[in-house]
Amino acid sequence: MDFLYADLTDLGRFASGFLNTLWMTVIAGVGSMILGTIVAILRISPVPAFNKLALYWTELFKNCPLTVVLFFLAFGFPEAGFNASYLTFGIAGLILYTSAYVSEAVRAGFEAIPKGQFEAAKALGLNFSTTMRHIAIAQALKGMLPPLTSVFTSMAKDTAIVGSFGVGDELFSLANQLTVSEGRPVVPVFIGIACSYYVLLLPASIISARLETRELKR
Amino acid sequence: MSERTVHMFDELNPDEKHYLRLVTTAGLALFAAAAGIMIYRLWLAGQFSAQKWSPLLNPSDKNFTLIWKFLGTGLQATFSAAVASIILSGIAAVGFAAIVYLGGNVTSKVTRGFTNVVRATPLLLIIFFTARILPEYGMATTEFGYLVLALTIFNGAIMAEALRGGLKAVPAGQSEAAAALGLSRWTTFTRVMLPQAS
Repeated sequence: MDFLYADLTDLGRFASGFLNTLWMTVIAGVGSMILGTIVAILRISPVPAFNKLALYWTELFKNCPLTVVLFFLAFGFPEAGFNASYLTFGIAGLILYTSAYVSEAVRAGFEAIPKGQFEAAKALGLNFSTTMRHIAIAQALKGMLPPLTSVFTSMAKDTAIVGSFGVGDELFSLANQLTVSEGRPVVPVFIGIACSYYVLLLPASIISARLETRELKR
Repeated sequence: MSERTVHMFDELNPDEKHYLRLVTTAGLALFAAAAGIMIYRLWLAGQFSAQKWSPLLNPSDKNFTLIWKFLGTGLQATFSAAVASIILSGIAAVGFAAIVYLGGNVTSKVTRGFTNVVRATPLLLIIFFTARILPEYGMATTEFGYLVLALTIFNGAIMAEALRGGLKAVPAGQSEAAAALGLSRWTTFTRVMLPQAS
């Protein structure tokens, strides 16, 4: 019972760490969803130059560790005279990094639509925007939901990397503080932190389990 | 980097092509302007001075060999950690999947619970705590050992989940046929299920 006691006395701090992680996840999730969708639109647009640009963007952030992105933002941008708090840089880095994966998921959703759908729309005389609104987007959403779930799951866990830079007061910083600065026993803190992340990601795992059973039924 | 497979657009007419060229030029100009401003401001701050780049590019600089040696060491360490953890996590994944498939009700539930919690935990946290928990129980190794162990546990759990999905997708008739042939559960797993799941 000893180790439970250690966690229970810090329940308030665990809760605030949890909320900060959640807050970071939501902000970075919305931001990367917007940016990633823009990149995906550039990627599937009929403009070759934009296709290339979006491709390089995606490849750049997919092949670069998040830590390196954060280092560049936090220590490179101030050199160019752009100053912001480390938390802002951290969330911006998370958005930039995740946008590459979001754009891939969104693109995959559109590419999974059978070619016949567009040909049928054309045969019915629908124009581009009507085709998009009534035919493409609904089907694309269905296709992009499973990859997006896993992208955002990884992103929620990547907040720990931002936290390791000592910003945000989220769960990783809390773990660091409790075990290193305050010398608490390591195992109970680890169990508490791991369970907090598990609770945070529970909705995502329920969604992906639902999607999986739906996939198997088909 | 495959070609686009989306066929959402008709061949454009000359008017549209003209418009497209305008949009392209404007977009690229915007991008070039942003990049230009960034480079200009970095240049103003003296980030492109020969003095700052000489340790990296000038062989006669006193730090040149040292820096490249450091980069080489880092690359080598990253590479060996990657190779070791890829191989080990593959083995761990098969191990987890085998326990879930072959174990009793409780054993497989506990193992699945463990892999689920590990999958929901950030990798950085696992590395951090591996390096802190193991020494407390007298299992101190090198930093490389902690890193590889943490990577193995984390990626093993993720791959085990993928493998479980693969096992689920193998038609039920396969394991029933194996049972009808009198194969043991172990042989069924290693000879029938695993080759089809991976």
